[in-house]
Amino acid sequence: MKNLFAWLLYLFPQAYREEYGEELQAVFGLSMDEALAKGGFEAMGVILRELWGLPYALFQAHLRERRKQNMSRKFASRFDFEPGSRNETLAALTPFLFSMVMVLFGYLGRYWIAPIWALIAFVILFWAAAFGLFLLGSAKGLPRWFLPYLGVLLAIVSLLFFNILVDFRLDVWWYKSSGLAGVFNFGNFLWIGLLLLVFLLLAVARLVPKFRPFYQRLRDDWTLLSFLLYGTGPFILLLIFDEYVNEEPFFALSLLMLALGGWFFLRKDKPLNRFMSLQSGLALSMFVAAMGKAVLILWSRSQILDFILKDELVFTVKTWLWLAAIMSLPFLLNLLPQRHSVARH
Amino acid sequence: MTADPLSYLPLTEPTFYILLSLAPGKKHGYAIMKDVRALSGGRVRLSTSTLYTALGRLLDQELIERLSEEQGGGPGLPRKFYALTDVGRRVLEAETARLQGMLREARLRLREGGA
Repeated sequence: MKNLFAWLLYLFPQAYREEYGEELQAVFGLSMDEALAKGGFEAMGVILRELWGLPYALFQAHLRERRKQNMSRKFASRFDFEPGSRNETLAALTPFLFSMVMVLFGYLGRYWIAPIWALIAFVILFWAAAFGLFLLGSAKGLPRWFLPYLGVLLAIVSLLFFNILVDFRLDVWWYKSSGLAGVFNFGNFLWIGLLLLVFLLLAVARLVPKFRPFYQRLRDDWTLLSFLLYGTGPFILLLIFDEYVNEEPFFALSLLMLALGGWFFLRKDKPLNRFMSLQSGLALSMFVAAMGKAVLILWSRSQILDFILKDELVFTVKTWLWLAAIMSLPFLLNLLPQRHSVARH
Repeated sequence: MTADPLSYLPLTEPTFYILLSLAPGKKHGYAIMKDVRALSGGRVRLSTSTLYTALGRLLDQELIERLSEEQGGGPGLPRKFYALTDVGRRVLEAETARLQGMLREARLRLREGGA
């Protein structure tokens, strides 16, 4: 009977067994010895009592161990998403998936009358989650999953920069004074702004000691900076589909392509494969956007169909090439002299 | 862990008896088990696993403490001892006071009803 009890102890968590196993066996042994001395019925009573109490004790022991494990893990460490983990993937793809859900939500909202409180709750929940992840990534020292968030931020700041130039009528000055207008026409200031911001980010990361580990990570893996720039994708798509009607299904599909590219990026080991994942995701996304625009323009039966179609497709292709080229620039980081890594991921 | 004894009340009957068993001094598991049975007049018979579940919970709540191995446990006896902490003693006193209050009120009412 004592052997059976010892065997039953294997049902308890290992840590619990190690802590109390010896005592439990000793106490049960003494109880049995005493009961046997009094007679068979008494011994039977002890055994039945043990069997009766065992399920509850097992449940409590497992619950206790689980609670202890949770307590021993620091609260903050729960948000240290392991590279390649499901949590990291979900967090990294949130800017793409979040945008996709919001686009679809807006589209379905036209045909589906939901209670206003549900709409408000949904929007608040999503924005709170996105904003929370943004703060978390900032606090966590700009981990890999956070880079697309930075990309979105850089794209927005770049657009603000672009708007400031327009406000000060610098566009007129640019066209009048620059012979390079054909190559770097004013609309492309958006990209130039983005490039300047990336250089600024690199400079800050290099010079500010707090961000030095981040800079070193970018140096160790140049594709991280490409991933950051890839994060501008949702915002760029927003510009591509600007002023279109019923563009949401194509917009959402383009975002899904971006998410797909990001998903492969997070799973590939070799830098070249990671880079190609991003470029493939971008190319697919832009292809879907171009096709979507073509369908929408043809559907609208515009009088100036040919002109619009050509213009819009050229704009989409140019946008794609710009972003693809900018995403390739981080490779140049490899050409800089490499120091010994002081802080890896 | 909160140090307010009242926040632990009311205690379950086995918990009360386990703490009560430790009130005079430290005991090992088997001694607690026997003492609980004696204190409750044989009503509360703890199984080994139930006893250690309760002891584990009381340790987590810091109402009791587990003392390191000592000599003198006796042959075959567990070498770990359990003792009340200061918080555990205050909780036991608070529960006793609560029970006393209940008992006093109950006696008073019963006397009034019988008069």
